[in-house]
Amino acid sequence: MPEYKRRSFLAKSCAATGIAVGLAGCMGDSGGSQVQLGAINPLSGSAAFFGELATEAQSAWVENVNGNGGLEIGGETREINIVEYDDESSNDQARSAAQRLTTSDNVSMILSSWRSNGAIAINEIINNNQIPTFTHGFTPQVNTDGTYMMRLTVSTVMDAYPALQFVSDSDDIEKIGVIAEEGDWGDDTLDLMEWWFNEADNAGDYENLGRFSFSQQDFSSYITKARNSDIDALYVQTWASAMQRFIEQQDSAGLNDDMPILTGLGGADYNSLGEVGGSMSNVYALGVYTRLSYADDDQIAETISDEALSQFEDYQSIENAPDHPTAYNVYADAQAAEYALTEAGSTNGEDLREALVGNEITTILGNATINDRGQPSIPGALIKFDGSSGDAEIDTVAWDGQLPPITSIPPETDL
Amino acid sequence: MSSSEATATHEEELDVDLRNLEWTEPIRAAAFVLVGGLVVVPFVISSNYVGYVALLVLMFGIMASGYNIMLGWPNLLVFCPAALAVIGGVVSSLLAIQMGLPFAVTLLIGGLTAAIVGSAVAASAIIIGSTFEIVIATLAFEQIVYYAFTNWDRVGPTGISGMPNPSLGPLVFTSQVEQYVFLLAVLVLVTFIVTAFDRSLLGTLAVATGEDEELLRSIGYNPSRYKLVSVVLGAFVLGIGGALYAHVNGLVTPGAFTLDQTVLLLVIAVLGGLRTIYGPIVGAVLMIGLPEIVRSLGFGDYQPYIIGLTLILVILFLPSGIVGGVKDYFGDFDNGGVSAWAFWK
Amino acid sequence: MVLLESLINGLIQGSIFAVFAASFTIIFGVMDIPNMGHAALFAGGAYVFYQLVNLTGLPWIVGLIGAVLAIAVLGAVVEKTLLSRLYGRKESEYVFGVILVTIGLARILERGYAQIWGHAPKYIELGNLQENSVQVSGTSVSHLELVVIAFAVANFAFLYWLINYTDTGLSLQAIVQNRELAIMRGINVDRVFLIAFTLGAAMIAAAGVLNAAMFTLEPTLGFSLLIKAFIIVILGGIGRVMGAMVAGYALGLYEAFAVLYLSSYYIYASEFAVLIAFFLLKAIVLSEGEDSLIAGLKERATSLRQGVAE
Repeated sequence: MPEYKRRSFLAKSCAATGIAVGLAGCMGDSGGSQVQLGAINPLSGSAAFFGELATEAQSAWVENVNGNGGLEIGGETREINIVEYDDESSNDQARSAAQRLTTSDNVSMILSSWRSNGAIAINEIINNNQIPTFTHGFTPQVNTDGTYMMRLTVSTVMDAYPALQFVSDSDDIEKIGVIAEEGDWGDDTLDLMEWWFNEADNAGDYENLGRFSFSQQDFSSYITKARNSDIDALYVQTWASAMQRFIEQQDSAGLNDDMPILTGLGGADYNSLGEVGGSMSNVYALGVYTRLSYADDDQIAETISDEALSQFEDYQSIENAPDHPTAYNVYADAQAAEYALTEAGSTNGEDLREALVGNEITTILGNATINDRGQPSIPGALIKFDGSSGDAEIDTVAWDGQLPPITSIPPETDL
Repeated sequence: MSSSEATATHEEELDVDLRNLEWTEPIRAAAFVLVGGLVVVPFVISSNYVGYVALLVLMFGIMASGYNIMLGWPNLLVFCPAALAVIGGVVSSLLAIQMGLPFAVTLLIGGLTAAIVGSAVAASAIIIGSTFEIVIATLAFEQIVYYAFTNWDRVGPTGISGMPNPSLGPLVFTSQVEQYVFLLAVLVLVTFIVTAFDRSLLGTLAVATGEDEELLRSIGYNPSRYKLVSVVLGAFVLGIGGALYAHVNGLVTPGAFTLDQTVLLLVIAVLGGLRTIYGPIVGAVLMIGLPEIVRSLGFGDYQPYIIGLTLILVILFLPSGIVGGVKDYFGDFDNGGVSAWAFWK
Repeated sequence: MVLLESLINGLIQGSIFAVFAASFTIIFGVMDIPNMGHAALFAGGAYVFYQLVNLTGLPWIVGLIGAVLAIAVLGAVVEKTLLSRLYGRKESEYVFGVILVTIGLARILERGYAQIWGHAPKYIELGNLQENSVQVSGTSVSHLELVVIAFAVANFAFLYWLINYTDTGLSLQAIVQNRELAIMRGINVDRVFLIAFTLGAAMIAAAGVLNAAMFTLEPTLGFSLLIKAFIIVILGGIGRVMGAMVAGYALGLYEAFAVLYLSSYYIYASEFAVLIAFFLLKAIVLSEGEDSLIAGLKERATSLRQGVAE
């Protein structure tokens, strides 16, 4: 719809009635020379913990950029403004927020979209409006060629990849047990296991020890089953609070004394390792974002590029920058947006996408490349933790390297 | 009513009296909704955001109207409207994507499937009988539907996406305004059906099942029959609503149709006014519109408080809902039929 | 070995189910309506404890008493100011009313907890109960788990005494069995409602603290338990506290053993299917005036035997 028409209708509708649905449409205001960017964060509902961290990390980035005078875009220095909406952890709200951002607020990019279902819900809107959007969900359904849905977040199968590498390289582990969530992500994990051990013929074997729902409170039955099975290690696929409960409970039951616990921890995009500290003995977790929390450990520092480390130091010097892996991920997304804006020299969505895809982007997470399907290749490390001191400390780095951008099984990339 | 003549007459002759129905009433109600909906069109065009909210209002208005048929008339506290709606949405989406059937066909099959499942729900509710056991049994049924879809590999937690836009033969409704007009047409049709149901003897008898089942039985009617008809009709409309939701949004996920949505539909129906024609529409405007207003005024943080308080205040001070309350106050502008609220026991 | 461990897992899980369901059933049985805000009170108890012990540094016993008192008062206030206004209404409006008011309340409370204490899952410490454990034939059971089982047993012993040996309890029973008759016999229904709600709230607060110590504390803590509580309360018989105990343990044990053979999807779905089957069976089998399925089935079995004998 042409701009002038929209404006005139807007004026009419606002004048005609005071009904606030109309009012809501008028609220969107595109500022002068500021670059408008959007964010859809869950500030209430089940995912609110992540939403609040995202808000803080994005504010830190804006302060940092504007504090330095803004971004140099196509020969003009412009400040950044973020328009943020709460998706209330609901798809309808996410969609209405995306409508507002793309059409009323006229943003150039959306810096965050949470929850896989929320990202799928807004996928059509952001693609139709050609607004590059960073998501923190895992959404293979919308990972199509040419998509505007991008991520620096690893997928469920990328989560499991380092653990599988480790198992196949290890002499001690012949067979692993797997427990996974009900539904798509658990299915993906089990498909990967099946493919890895039985079709790609890597060393080792696996056994499915059962599925659970994300709201599972009590894992003791699964722990019992693992302990009494003929396995050498246990792989657990879940994340956030469910993973936190599992880690705690397996430690109380002493499962980690019997066997290593392997996890992706959702790329350690994880509530807080500190909370479960003492329970992390003999737990192997993939660190993509968490690595930065342990950057002062020599073994970990070796897995992070110098450039990323120095950027991370800059990050830490920003006032109110939250110290949490999720915040590092959100900040890296913002850095990618910064790269795209300056590289493209434009605020046009199509140009921004072109700048993002295929180019190496330097972020606090390390160097990442996003492919045409929006999936990143990003560095990570499988860290063995030791919790004997009561805190989660680094024991050894079991694997490190660039995680391949896998979204489907069989993998569409060479492993 | 209790005369011997009524007892002697066969029920088949009595309850299907559509011929004697005053057709002007349903037509008037439908026209009223149509005009109201068309007046809003300029706002819908004014911004995609307002347009999107308007689409949501229509879809929830349709679903809540369907839910109201089972809640309001026979007074059956069926607690699984979201399950019936998601069944319609999933069936229609799968048929469209996997078999490539046209939308009009998948929409109808979606609604019919929901109606068939609804007839099983109705039969169970009739057998169970006790109010809160019905609440809990249907709540349990909704959970089973959720688990089943989450674990079915064709649906799963991320649901089905990529279904085609709504269409009617060669007409494909792609833009927001087109979809708005299409959904409005469906809502107008639903309003017509609900009013016709209300004005027919079928509706009156459905109300009577809630008021005095024994009396109804003693004069030769079978109350179960009217409960069944109400729930099946409501389930059909819910299924249609769910299918529309799926195709308009291009996405249907089991997680978006759980207890939260059931409660939302219940709140819409109760807030607007049970057993009123326009209640669910007024309720949908408020319950879908209010959060957006709160958000645009910058009070997003307080939204759960505002929703929660609205709920408590309406229940405490406006128990027959907004349309019901206005009706009680100004007399019967909406419902020419039985206006008694005392339909329980 | 697996079976013993599963038995212990089942007993612990069952204790939590049973305690949650017992407090739920007191309210449910007396007032005829599920309190949809029960999970919010459950989390509320745990948050008060978290505030008093983890943040303020008071001894855990003070925290526990504080949590129980605070939530009991909250329960009493809710009953007096909100729910009591609905008692005079017709049944359908009453059913809607209580369900919607308690849902509204739950929304407000959950948001309140999140704003005060944040969304991140919290851990609470209960003395050294979590760290120390005993060995039961090769399986380690933490002191906390023993306390949870002991609490459940003590809770039921207290309720058994209260219901069968005190005036309040007898009034409660009278109301559950036949409300009209109870009113005719001069029982002060308002007072009993208040007591039931307050008591239910106090018990759920203590259960919330223990549950949060076992697992984690989040604003929506207990919502999944609320749904289980429906199953337990129905199978145990609405308003029957001892029935809730038996059904709670049965469900805990079922889940613990079933997980060895079934995916969790089938476990949950089967629970709900049993619930619906129970309702249908009860409605088909029982005739007017009977309310216990087991008694009804027994009676039919007896009459069948007699029929054969004749």
